Amino acid sequence: MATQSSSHETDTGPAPSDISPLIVSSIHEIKNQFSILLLHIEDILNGSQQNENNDTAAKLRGEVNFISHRLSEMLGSYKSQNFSITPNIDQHALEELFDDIAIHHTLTETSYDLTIRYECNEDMFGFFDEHMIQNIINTAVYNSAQTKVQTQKNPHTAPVSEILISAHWDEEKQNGDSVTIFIEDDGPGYPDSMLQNSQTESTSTDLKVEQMKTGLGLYLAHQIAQAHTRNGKQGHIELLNGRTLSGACLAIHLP
Amino acid sequence: MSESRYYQNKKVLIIDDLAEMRSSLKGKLDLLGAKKVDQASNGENALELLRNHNYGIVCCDYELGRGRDGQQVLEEARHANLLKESATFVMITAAQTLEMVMGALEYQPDGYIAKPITYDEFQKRLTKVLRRKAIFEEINGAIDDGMVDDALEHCNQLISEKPKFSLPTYRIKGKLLYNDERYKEAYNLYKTVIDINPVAWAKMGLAKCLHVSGKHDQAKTILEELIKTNKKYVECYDLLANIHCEERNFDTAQKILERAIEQSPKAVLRQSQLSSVATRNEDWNVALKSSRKAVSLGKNSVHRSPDSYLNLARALQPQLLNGGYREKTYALNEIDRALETVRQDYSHDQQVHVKASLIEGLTLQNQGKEEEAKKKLDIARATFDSLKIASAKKCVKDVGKTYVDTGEHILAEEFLTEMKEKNIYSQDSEELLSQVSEANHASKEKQEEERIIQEQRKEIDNLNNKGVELFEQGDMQGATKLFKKASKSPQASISTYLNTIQALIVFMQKEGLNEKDSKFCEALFKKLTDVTEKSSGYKKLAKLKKMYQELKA
Repeated sequence: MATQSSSHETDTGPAPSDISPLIVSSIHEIKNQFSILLLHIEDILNGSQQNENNDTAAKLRGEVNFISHRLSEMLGSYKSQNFSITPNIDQHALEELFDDIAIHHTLTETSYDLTIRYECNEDMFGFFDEHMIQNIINTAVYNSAQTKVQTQKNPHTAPVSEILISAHWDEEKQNGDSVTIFIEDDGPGYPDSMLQNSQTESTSTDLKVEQMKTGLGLYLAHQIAQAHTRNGKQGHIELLNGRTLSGACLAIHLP
Repeated sequence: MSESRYYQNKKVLIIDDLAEMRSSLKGKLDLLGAKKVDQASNGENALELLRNHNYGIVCCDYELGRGRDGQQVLEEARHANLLKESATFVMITAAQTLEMVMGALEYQPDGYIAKPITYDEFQKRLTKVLRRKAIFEEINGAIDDGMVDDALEHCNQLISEKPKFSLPTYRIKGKLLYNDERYKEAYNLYKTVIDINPVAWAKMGLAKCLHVSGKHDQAKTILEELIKTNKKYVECYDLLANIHCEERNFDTAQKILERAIEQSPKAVLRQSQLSSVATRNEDWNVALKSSRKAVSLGKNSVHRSPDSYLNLARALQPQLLNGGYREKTYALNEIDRALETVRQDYSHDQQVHVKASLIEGLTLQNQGKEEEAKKKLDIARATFDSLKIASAKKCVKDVGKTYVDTGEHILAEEFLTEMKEKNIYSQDSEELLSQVSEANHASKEKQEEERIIQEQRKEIDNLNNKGVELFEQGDMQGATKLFKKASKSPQASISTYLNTIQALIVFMQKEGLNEKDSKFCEALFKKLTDVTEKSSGYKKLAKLKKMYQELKA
């Protein structure tokens, strides 16, 4: 990728034993393969009107989408360690942002049999990097969807059937336009171990093995939220359970 | 669907280097009801098409292989007005490229679409981008019609009606005011925005306003701050480098441009500017690299400039001088090609012909063909003399510099002085003239110094020879007088000192010790303390020391 190679030209280069650039470029390649795979699945879906393969193809499409996102996350985390995250902050209407997210997750809804809703006042706006915040929200949505897959076989836990994305002014509007975005589901919620950690600094080293599947995404989310600063205030993320829906809730506080 | 109004009657251009992606996109757009869908596989073809057609929608992949990237296509299209303001430019990127690569940029696409994408999602995303673009429909329409005041009025209306779009609207308004040279109003607007939120583009706007009103230091402070937090905001580097050039800090300007190019190596204009600054700084490695890039990226570009070709031919000269046979041959080929292209493609530009002839002259000189070089420079000079004053002013430094580079320092000074009297000069030629005349003056002084030294050496030789003559005739007093005089000269050598000592000792052996002469001897021995065993006069010195000690005893 052009930007990556140019940054490496000026560095002294990785130590011979450091194979992470190799791994990164492999991930990048795999991701591109998935893009093509997705094109083929599209063809199948468009070609066949109604047959029994249709459902399978749609599920396949959802999974491929999900894997692509995970790979993006891995690349993103690698870059966040090697290059500083500098958000391109501007004013964005939250309704627009949520609309984009909803479009992006049309597939997630059908392949995981979920309802994704968003709620916000149409006049609401915030100051943030659109793409970065989208990425955090996507991560949270995919996490909820995955929770559904993992808990489906367990009759004692509530299956996720709904995801709600909403935005709220933090204080009275005239006190400053701080915004919090909540992404919540009606699943079993975060395990206690994760809630305890949520207010403290989330660093890559203190992630426990059982958290790894969501840890990388949350780690990146935390880095991104922190990079959002305004009037000396810094953004952060928070994990909650049972806010308005019964399950997990990720809060993104933006100054 | 009512949304089809966004596609109907619109010509669409797809830019992607992968045929598979292009046809898949075309299929989707056809389904959406686009009127006509054209395709380009690289930036060069895309710009060609953009120049000749009026597209309503452009879907461009960010990664376009070897040539330009999507951002460059966008910048050139907007910069050269190949794309109407009301036309929608959509950048298609791989998701992770998007968030990390895109930062604050002056030229932003109307929307991004992340790959991979399904038909459904593509349709919804594109429709959404078009719907959003439609919010600014009246403003963009007025801009396309050249109605600045109407556009500003529409901006004000939108800001008061839809506060959630106020910042993007302010951004358009700021640009309109700035381009209309209403700098004070633009400045105030950017101030207002920064009070709401110190977004990068508003700080950049403020710096631009400060720059045009001559407040360089304030502009520089803002830009340096911006670069620290928004490393990828390349336009900041451009303006900062520009200010440093205006202040004639060319070394600093070069460093800043090099940093900008690290961030965006594919920008033609930036590479071409770096090649010019590096050429001026005589940093030939950087000049060579950047001019090569500028030439190869510049094909079909609005930012293509003859300077890149000329800088390339100039930057290859050190290889002609210092390279091996192969290197020289390759360099010569590349120089010929660059100069031939620039003469052909800019055949009506006499300045180009002057500069090309100058470099041809230098090329011949560096190949050791001095006669031919002189002839070439005479041709350059004749073409130069036929230029109008305004054009001549732009070439006068190049002519003078080439004289300097071919070793004609006096000619350079005479030429520049003559041109100055004819009112043909620039800040650059003035600077060169003062450098050349200072150097010429210094070399004249050095010559004079050398002449004096030669004379003094001659005199010593004279005194020495006469002294030896008198010594042999036995006139010790006469001989010592001459030797003493010789050893007081600043050019006196070891052998002068040794001869003097010898004459004094012999004289005192004959006439007896005297205080004055023995002091003189001792002073000379002190001057000879550096003479070591390896020096040629050592034996004689040892002998004389012994004689002197015997004499004193």
